[in-house]
Amino acid sequence: MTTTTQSVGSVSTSAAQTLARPPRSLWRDAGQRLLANRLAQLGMLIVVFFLALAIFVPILFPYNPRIDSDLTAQLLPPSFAHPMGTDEQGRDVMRRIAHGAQASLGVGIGAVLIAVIIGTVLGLVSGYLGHTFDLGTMFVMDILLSFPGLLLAIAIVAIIGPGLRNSLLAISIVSIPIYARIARSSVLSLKQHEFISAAQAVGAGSGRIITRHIFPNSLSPVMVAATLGIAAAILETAALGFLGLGQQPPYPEWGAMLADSVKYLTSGAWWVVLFPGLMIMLTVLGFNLLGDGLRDALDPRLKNR
Amino acid sequence: MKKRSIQFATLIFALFGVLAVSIACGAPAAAPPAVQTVVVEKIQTSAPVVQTQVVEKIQTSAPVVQTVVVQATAVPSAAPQAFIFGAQGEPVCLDPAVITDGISGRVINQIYEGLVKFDKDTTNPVPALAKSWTTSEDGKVWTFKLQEGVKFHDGTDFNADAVVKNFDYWGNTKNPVHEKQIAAGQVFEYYEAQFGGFDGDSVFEKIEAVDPATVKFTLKSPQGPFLNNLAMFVFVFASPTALEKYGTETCKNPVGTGPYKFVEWKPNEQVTLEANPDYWDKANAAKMSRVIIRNIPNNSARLLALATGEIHALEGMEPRDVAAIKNDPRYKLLLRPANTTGYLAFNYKVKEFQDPKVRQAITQAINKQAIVDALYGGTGMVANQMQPPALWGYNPDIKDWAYDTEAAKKLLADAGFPNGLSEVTFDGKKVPLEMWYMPVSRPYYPNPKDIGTAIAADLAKAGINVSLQTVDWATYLDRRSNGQLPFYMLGWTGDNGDPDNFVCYFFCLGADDAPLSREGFIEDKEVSDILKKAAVLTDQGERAKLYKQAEQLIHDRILRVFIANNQPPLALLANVEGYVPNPTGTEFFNTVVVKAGP
Repeated sequence: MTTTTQSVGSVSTSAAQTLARPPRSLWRDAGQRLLANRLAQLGMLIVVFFLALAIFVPILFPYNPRIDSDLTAQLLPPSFAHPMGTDEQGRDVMRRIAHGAQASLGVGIGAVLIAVIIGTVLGLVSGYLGHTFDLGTMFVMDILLSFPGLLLAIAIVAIIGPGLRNSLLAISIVSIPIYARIARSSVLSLKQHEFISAAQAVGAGSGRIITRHIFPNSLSPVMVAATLGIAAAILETAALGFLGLGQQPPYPEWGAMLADSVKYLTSGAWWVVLFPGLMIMLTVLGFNLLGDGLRDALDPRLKNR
Repeated sequence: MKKRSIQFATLIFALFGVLAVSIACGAPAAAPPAVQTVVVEKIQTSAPVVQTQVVEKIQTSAPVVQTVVVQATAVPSAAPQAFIFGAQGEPVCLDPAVITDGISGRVINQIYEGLVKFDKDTTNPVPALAKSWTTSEDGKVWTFKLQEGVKFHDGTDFNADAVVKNFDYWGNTKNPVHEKQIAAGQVFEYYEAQFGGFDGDSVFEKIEAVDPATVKFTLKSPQGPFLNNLAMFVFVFASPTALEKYGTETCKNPVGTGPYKFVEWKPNEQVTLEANPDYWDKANAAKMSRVIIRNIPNNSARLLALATGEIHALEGMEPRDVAAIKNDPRYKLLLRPANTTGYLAFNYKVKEFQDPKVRQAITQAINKQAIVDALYGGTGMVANQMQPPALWGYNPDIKDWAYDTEAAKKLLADAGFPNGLSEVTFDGKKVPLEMWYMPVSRPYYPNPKDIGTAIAADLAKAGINVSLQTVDWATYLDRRSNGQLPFYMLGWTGDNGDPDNFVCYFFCLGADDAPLSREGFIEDKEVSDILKKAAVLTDQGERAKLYKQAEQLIHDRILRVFIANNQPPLALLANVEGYVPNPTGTEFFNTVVVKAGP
C-alpha cells in the first residue's frame, strides 16, 4: 500500500503526457509494458490458469460433493488414479482442489469487486465533496482500519454466521476502507488540477466531474490495489475456511481442506496438506506478481527503463 | 520488489518442501524446529535455483533428525523419579464435590479415596476406605465398616465422623461450606444427579456414625446403582479440618487420604503430586516419588512430547496416529474398555422424524461399519444400542438394522418423500434439514467433523440431504439442552458402570412424564417406565432383564441412531509399567512405575 501515493502523483503527469501524445494511450502503453514484464507474465499465467479452473471445471466435470465419500479409499498416497492422493473421506484431492478453486477465487474476486465498487464511490464522493461528509466517512473508515483485517472478518462472520457467502461479505466489508482511502487521496490531488477547474468553469456539475474526469484518472491506483487485494482476499478466505468459518463441509475450499488435513501430518499423509496449501500459495503469488507488474506498468516514470 | 517476491516464493516453496519431506520420512516423530530454521536461513541467502537443492538438503538431513529423536528416548538413564502424564486440558478444580470433568477427576483420583472404588479395568466396586459392608433385606440400610488408623494428608483422623461430615458438605444446603460454594457459583452436580437432590429431596433418610469405624446409610427407597455411585471419582472424602480451613479454596488445596499428596498446581502448565509416606495401605502405596500431570491441549504437541520423552504417557490421539503407536516398539498402546457410545439424535419437534419410516431410512442409509473401520483408528466398534457391550444391561440379541441404501430410498418413498428429504418442518417452520456435528473431539467421536461428513454423504446417497452445521462447544450443549438442534451428534461416557447411568439419563421422561428438551423431546412412556422401574430394584438379574427389554424397544422403534462404541486409546513409553486403563477414564497412578530407559 505504501507505493500507491507514488502512483497517484504519477497518474496526473501521465495524463498530461497522454494529452501531448494522443496516438498511444496510457492503457495501451501500460498494457505493452505489462506484457513485456517476465514476472507479470508468470503471474498472468497463474491467474488465467486458476480462473479457467474455477470457471470451466464445474461446467465440464460436474461434481456432487454431498455424495462424494468412499471410506475404503481413505488417505491413499498420490497414484495414477489419484494424482494428488485421497483425503480422509476417500475423496480425490485433485478433484476437490479443482472444484475448490471456484470457492476460493470466487470469494477472493467477489469480495474485492464489492469492496472496490463501494470503496471507490465512497472515496470519490467524500474526497470531492469534502467537509462534513468527508469527515464522517473517513471517520468510519478509520474505525474499520483500526482493526486487523482478519480479526474484524472473524468477528463479522461470528455475528452473521459461518458460510461462504457470509465470509465473502465479511471480507468485502473489511476491504472497503482500503479502496475508499486510495480513491479519496487521488481525488484530493486531482481536484487541484487545471482540467478540473476548466470543467467547473464550463459549468460541469459535480456528478459529471466525478464520473467523467476524476474517476478515470484515479482508476489506476485502485486497479493496482485491487489486484493485490485479491491475493489478500483469497488468503483471508482460506484463513476463514481454515478456522471453520468459511465454506462448510462437505463442499471443497482450500483453506477448509487444509484445516481438515493438518491432523494427518503426524501420521505421514503429506499430500492432503501439501496440495491445497500449494494452491493457495500459487494463486496468491500469481495475483501478487500480476499486481506488482501492473503497478510498474502504470508508473510512467519507469517507462523508459 | 520483484527480487523480494522471488525470495518470498522460493522461501515458501522450500518451507513446503521441508514440511512434506520431513513428514514423508516418518511419523510420529516430527523434525525439531531447530532444523527447520537452519534450512530457512540457508534459502534466504541463496538465489532462485534453490528449490531442488533444498529438497536434497532436507532429504539428507531428515534421517538425522529421526535418529536424534530416537536417541533422546533411547539414551540409557537412571530410573526416573516422576511419572509424567500428558492430559488434554487443565483441571477445573481439585475439590471432588463440585467437579464433573475427567481431567480434574484424574488428579483427584490420586489424592482422595472414597468408601469403595472401581477395581482395576472394570466398574466393579471393591473396598477402599470401607473394609466391608452389609445391606438390609429391603436394600434400604447400608452399613459400612471402615479402615482403621487412616489419616488425611494434614494429619486429621479418617473415621465415620469424617464420612458424615463430607456427606453433609455435599448434600446439606445449610452446611456453611456448601453455602459458600453455592455463593461462589459452584454446583454439586453429581451429588444431585446420583442421589436425587439436596436436603429432603435426596435419597438419604439419614447418615449416621454408629461408632468411629462404622457408618450407616438409611435410604428412603432402595437404589440399584448405590454402590457404583459411591465408587465414582467425585464421592471421595476430603479432610474435614481442611474443608473448614479452605472453604471455597479447597479447589486449590486438596487434602485426602490417597497414595499421593498435593504439592502444587501451576495453572495451564501442570499439577505436581508426591508420594504419601504414611499411606495406610502399604501394598498399594505409591511406586514413584512424584506424579506430574501436564496440560498439553494439542494432540500433535502431546504426541511429540511423548516422542521426546518429555512425558511418559498420554491420552487423546488422532485415530491415524493410533496405528503408528501400536506398531512402534518404543511405545505401548493401551485401550480403555469400551464405555462410550456415539449417537445421532432426532429432535421430535421435527415433524418428519415422528414417522418411524423416516427414522428407519436414516438408520439403514448409514454405513456404520465403514465409518468405524476408517475413522476410529482401529479402536472402535459398531453400536446398535445405548449401552456398550461390557455393561451387564447390554442386550446381545439385538440384530442391527442392515446398511441398505436402496431400502432406505424405498422407505423414504413410502413415507411420502419419493424425491428425497432436504427440507423439514421444525417447530412448524419449513427449514433445510440440518445435521449438527460437535466442534470438539470426544472419546466416542474422535473426529466429529470427519464422521459427520461421512454420515452426511451416506445419507445423501439415499436422498437425504443434510446441511452440516456446528458451533462452539458451550453453545452446542446449550442449544441441545434447549431442544434447538433438529438432528445432532453426541455421545456418552459411562460414569459408574451402571446401566441406569447409561440409559435412563437419555430415555427416561422427566417429572410428570414430560418429554425433555435436552433429549429432543423424545417421548416413549413404555421405555421410560421400564427404566424407572429398573432403577429402584436392587436385584441385578431382574434389573438386567428390564434394561435388555428397554434396549430392544429403543432399537426397534429407532428412538435414536447408535453409531459406535470406542475404546479410548492411551499411549505410553515402553518403559512404563503397571498402568491399568479404566472404563471410566480416570485411572489410579499408584501402581504405575517408570523403569529405567532401555
